[in-house]
Amino acid sequence: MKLKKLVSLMLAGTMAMAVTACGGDGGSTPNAGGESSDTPVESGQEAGGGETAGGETGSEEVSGDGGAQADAGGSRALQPFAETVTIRMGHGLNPNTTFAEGETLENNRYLQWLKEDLNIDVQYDWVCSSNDFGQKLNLCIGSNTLPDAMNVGQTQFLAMLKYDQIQPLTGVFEQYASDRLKQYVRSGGDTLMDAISYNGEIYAIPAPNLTASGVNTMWIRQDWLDELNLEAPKTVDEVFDVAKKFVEAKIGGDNTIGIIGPASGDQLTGRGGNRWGLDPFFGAYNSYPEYWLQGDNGIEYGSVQPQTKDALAKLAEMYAAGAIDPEVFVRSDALEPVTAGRAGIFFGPWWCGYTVDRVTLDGSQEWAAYAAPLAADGKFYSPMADPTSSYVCVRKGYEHPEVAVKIINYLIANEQDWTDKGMTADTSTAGVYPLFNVYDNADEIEYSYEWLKKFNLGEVKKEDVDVTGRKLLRNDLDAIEVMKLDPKDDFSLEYWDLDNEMADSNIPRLVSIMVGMRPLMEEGYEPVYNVYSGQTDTMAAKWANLQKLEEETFAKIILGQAPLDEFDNFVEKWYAEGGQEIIDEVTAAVSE
Amino acid sequence: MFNKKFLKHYYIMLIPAIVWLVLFNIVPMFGVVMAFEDFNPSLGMWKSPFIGLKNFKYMFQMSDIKQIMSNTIIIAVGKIIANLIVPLVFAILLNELCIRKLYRPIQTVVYLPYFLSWVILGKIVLNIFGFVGPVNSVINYFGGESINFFGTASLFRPLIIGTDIWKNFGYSAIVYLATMLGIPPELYEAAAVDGAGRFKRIWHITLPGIKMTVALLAILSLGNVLNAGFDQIFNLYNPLVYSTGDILDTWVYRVGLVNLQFSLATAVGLLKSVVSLVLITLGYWMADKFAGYKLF
Repeated sequence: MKLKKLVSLMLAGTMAMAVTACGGDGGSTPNAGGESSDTPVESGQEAGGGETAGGETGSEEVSGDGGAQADAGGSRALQPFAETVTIRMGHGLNPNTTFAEGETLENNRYLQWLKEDLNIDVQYDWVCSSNDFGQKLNLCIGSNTLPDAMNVGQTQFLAMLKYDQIQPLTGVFEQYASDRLKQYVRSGGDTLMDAISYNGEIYAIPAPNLTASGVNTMWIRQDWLDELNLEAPKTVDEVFDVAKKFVEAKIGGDNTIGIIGPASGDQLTGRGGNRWGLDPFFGAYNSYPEYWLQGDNGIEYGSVQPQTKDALAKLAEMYAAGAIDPEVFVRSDALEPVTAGRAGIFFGPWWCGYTVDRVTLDGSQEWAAYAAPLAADGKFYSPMADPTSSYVCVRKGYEHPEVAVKIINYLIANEQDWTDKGMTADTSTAGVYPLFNVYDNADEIEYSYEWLKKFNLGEVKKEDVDVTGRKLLRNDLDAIEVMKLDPKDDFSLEYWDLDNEMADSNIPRLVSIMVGMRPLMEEGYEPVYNVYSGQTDTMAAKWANLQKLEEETFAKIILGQAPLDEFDNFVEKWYAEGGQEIIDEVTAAVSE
Repeated sequence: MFNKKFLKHYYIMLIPAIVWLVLFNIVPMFGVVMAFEDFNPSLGMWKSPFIGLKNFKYMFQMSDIKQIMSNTIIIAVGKIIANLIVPLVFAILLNELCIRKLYRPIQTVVYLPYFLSWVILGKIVLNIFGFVGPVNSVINYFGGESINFFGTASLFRPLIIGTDIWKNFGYSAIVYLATMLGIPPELYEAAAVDGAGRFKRIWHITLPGIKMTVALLAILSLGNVLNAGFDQIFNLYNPLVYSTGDILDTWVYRVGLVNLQFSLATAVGLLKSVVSLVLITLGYWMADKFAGYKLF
């Protein structure tokens, strides 16, 4: 009897932990679903913090660029296996994914094509909701029952590496990766190679993050600026001033919000691409919270530097003056006041054209992006994102690691073609294809902006734009040709053809590139890189607490619930409670 | 003879349940060793290096463990007490309702939030208490300043307990109402004949009639002293209220699941289980002592 009770209690404890896991994921679900149109691509982008190039596969009519041919050359990239090779995987399926009649996740056109063309037999051991995929995989890591190949994030990648659960892929990658896959990986440069390497071997095939997605710029209501006869603000004080004027003028109604900051569940500062974060304010003070920096005296941690205190002081002043959302950190959703037309300024990457897509398309709000606020020396400093956040890994002991590479090759070679021929409309590639990621060049947006701009101004002909290896550029060129009205160099809302029947699928992307990317290209920025993105032993144990301390202190200072000098206590405590050890470990790791 | 056969029959029926119990409750108990190891999944449970009580030591050396523990206990105990009293009062009031037609609709309406998950309720609650929400509108109407409800540490615990009651009291009240239905109506009639008023009847008939149920529920809920409700808090908290709202489960979530610290998470789970075991045993003993309730 005692035993039974003991047991059931223990189980209760275990279940509580399981519930913990599920609840955790559930928490983020409504954000992902509630935002935007039902293209899986876009919701993926919004939910994932936009670190990947989610928008890339968004539009439906994309013209081919001969990618299939590019890979068809005699390499081994797409050579079928002589004998059927089986690969066992798990899949996180978006519950909204639709299938064509008669197709299922286990039996669909992609798997058939893989079988026919490459002789690869994909078997799924388990399927879960895409929201639970991370948790399910953590469970697989914990119980050492990994699928043969999997698509994971950084935490899991590092954990599997530490537990020696995945195999090196250097040789396989060299031999089997297609030229385009190699090009994409190369486009991420050395930082990307470092991120996936350990002891000189690569352990994952990454999908490079777009460089541009790491930079948060200031998005501001251009129509409000015009209405109040204001110039676009540049410095911290000007941004402060404009925000105050928006609020005082009650331009968006009684509850006008000057600057919308992070809601509950968002982050004040993050490692790049942090929509709603206030990173640019910190950047204006040369402060980079949560970044490991190479300082003059060795490795430094951004959050505990004295400049951070200056940035916090300014933010606290702005909050007290009512320039920042009074409900910052507490609000359940930052997008809601933006859509409702109550917010004047927010910070986010180039793809925030998608964030404001609805109000753009109905012509009710005009948003413009600027590189602001600037630092005292007039430059825009931006912390940059990690080079990748999607790692495809292969379990240790799986005999055919090249299968994973070939599955990716096959996707890259054919994705375009499938879309062109309308073969993916009823069963989406993004939702169903095994090991799906958006594989693309890290400089895709820079390149697109440059050529779209030239073409739009009539400086080059469409045929002269080199679209080799560029998935959406051809389509973008076609779209901007018809949707951008005269004058071609004015990107105000009134000079877009919002009534065009293809506007819904093209304007958000074009606005993202031409308006969102503009400040990065025209005004320039100073990138600041994180030098360490792994996890040391002490970090594993103590990081969560240090982070809690940081989040709590910063939030309280900004809201005026704690005096500014609380920052000094925080720094002291941070060093004492493991920070110093972690700095030493990171220093050792970086100098290796 | 008949008796023996009868018993065998029952034991056979019990087999599936026992298999289930062994597979899912007893076998996983071995996983508790993870709490005492530096668990490495590729080495497995039996080969991972043994580190003794290091995980527990770490847990108790952490600077904010006191805060997390006291948050957990205060919120959980507050919920336990409030979740006993509020439904009880509500059930008595509903039972005494004169307009019987309203009985069902009221019961259904208060029962409703019970079925919604905290993911949804969290958003609703945040909006109700937001700056432009109804609560602050009322405050503004009477000339008060807007209050940042969920951004103020001192208000967080009452709000958590209050919203938890709002979600659950309709459900808990059903147990009391069911017990009240079991009280023989003759008692009330007899009391009425003897000249007992409404309050006298409540005091002398209804309350004694449900005394056992109240005691039982109170005692059994003791096991929840370390369960302050992860779903709810996770959906409502933010850095501003860590000092009063961060509980064991949210902490384990951040440390254990986000950073994949299996051993530490197991250690905390084990600790919670042990505390719950002690309290449940105590509660069981008390149930026997004060309410004469015995399961075995």
